[in-house]
Amino acid sequence: MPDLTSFTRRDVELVGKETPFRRYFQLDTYYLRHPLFQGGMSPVLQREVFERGQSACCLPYDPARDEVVLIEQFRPGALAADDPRPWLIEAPAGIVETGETPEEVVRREVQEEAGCTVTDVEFVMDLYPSPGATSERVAMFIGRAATENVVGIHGLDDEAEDIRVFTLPFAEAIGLVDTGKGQTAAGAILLLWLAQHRDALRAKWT
Amino acid sequence: MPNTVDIAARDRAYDGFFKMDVFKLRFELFRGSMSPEIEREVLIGNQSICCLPFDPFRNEVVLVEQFRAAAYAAGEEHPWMLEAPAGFIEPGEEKNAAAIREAHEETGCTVTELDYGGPLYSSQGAFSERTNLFVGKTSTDGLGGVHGIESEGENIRVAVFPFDEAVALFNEGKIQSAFGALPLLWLLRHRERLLREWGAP
Repeated sequence: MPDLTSFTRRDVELVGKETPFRRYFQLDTYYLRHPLFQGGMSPVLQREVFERGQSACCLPYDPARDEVVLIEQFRPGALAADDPRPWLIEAPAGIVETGETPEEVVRREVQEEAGCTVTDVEFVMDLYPSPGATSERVAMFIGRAATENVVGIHGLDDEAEDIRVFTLPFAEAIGLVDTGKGQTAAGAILLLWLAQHRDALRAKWT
Repeated sequence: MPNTVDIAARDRAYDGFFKMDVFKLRFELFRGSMSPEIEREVLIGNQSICCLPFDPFRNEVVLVEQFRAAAYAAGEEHPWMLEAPAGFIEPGEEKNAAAIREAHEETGCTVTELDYGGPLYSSQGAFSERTNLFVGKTSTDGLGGVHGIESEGENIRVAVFPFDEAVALFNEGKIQSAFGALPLLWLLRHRERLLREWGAP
């Protein structure tokens, strides 16, 4: 098997950094040189980065009922993509603030966004959803939940959150991904991962 | 189900390599009325593709390793990411053609069949990018080396992995990019079907 490169961030030379855009969000321009695979350093490269920070995402799963909890909400990214109906079906997620752990955040967000209590979490991966553009890193989890009576409209009025919560049998949810209707990268990754680990999780959680 | 969005204004607030638009809008609520007017910033991204080349006869996949400035910005200790070939669909280009082109440009491989997993939003709260997920049939014979378009600052190392070793790397947390994780998990789930469809023994 080929070796991975042993370069680290200390091998990168940061020449300069500017912030050309800052409102609610921030874009930074990095001027940097990095070591090349064939030896030597790159010329100074200019790279724009959409600064986002750490978030966390959790797919609630009921191992007894073999159901997952999904949410549907209006998404500005889908509006800007000219999606004919910019409401997307996805897994609950939220931003990790300083001093919080991703696990705390997913427990809180699943409660707030889906009205559903997560009693155990299984870590899946740290995900960079689009590392050519955004520094966002998402801690990804499957959460153990009881899906009975998990349904309705949730969200925080003061954040203009309007979220429809529903449950689906696992087979139907993975069927959406299998037929190209997964809609979001994070949701598709969690369902595909659950497809591989579902038997083990059901054994562990029941 | 709600389907109405009233856009009061859409302004380009930043126009550099990336573009940032600010929307003032109201959207229909599930209970039927409209939300108050809200302001939302959205990074404008074109549609992209990621395409994992898979040799069904050798049971090998082709991954690329490259420096990612956004991972560096995130504080990542090792901001070189292991991914499938990925890139933007060019204006007027069809997504399948983009998958075949990117796989060839970044790894030198020839993709002869495609399996499609749909368009997936990268970060739908504030980014309009959709990644079209593909696994491509290829031969890994003779692949390897360093590729990339030097004038674009691309420095890409191509590595051929036995499929099981690529999965082991994912399980060890060494494949963190969605452009690597998505097609690898897709192939894990659909490999037996693809082996049949693509004529492997």
